[in-house]
Amino acid sequence: MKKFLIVMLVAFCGPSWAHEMSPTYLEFAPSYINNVLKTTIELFNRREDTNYYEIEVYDNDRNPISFVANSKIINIDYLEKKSIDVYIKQSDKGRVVYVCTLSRFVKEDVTKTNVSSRICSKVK
Amino acid sequence: MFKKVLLVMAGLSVATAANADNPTIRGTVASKCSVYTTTQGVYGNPSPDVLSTDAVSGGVQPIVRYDVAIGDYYYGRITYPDAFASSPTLTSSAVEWAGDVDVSQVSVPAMSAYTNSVVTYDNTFQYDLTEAGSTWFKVSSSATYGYNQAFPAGSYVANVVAECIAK
Repeated sequence: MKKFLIVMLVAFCGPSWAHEMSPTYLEFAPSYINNVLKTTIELFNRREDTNYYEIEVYDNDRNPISFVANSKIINIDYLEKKSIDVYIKQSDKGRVVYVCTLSRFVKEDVTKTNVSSRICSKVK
Repeated sequence: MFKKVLLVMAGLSVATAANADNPTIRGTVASKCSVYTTTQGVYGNPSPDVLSTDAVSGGVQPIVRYDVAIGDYYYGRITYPDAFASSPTLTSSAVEWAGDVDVSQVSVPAMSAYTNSVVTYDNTFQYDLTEAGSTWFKVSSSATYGYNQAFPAGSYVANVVAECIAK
């Protein structure tokens, strides 16, 4: 039993970093600007290895669709939560299917594999 | 004397009642996906023309954990690298890439079925995350340089992309 506990501790006590985004399903609602729709996503950075996330908006075939946000690349500190407003044109309403966030890295001098995480919410 | 004790006790109980509070902690379980990097990968360099995350080559396989709050809301899509994100200037573009993705640990036994129901295309593995809980995926990656060529000295970084796509 002791051995099992030690193995479990070793297996699960290493550093781990997470990228969280909600909600799963989005709705675009009219904004304060004519013919512009708005939705809000919440991003929670539990990744210690990155502070930058890129916002992406796609159609069903993963073709990018133009959008407006405060910034395309969001600077978000470790353990910080941010609400981000994303605006699209009313005419794109039927085309937009996914709103995603993708982690971005700063160039480093290490030979390794980075894990880029992307989470996509779907427009209902 | 007894009356005095009673009065003090009554006073104390009133004071406690006045300070009593009912703190609440509220929470909501919503469909949500979190992507954890449990282990960052490292390339080993077992021979001059090979970079590999295999342990026998001196590398470390990256491990990614997906936490899904409610099952059947997301696809997990993992793509092993087919290019360097940064590297020294390579004289030849003849780098041959290989890789694999597999389930390494599960929190719910039914998740073991993910290995059989995986959909693969190009260098991407797509899993239907039908169960709520945590699933660990290990990724392997190797890059082999052109025939009889050695990778130039320097640092090499390649990106594994772990995606969580709402259904």
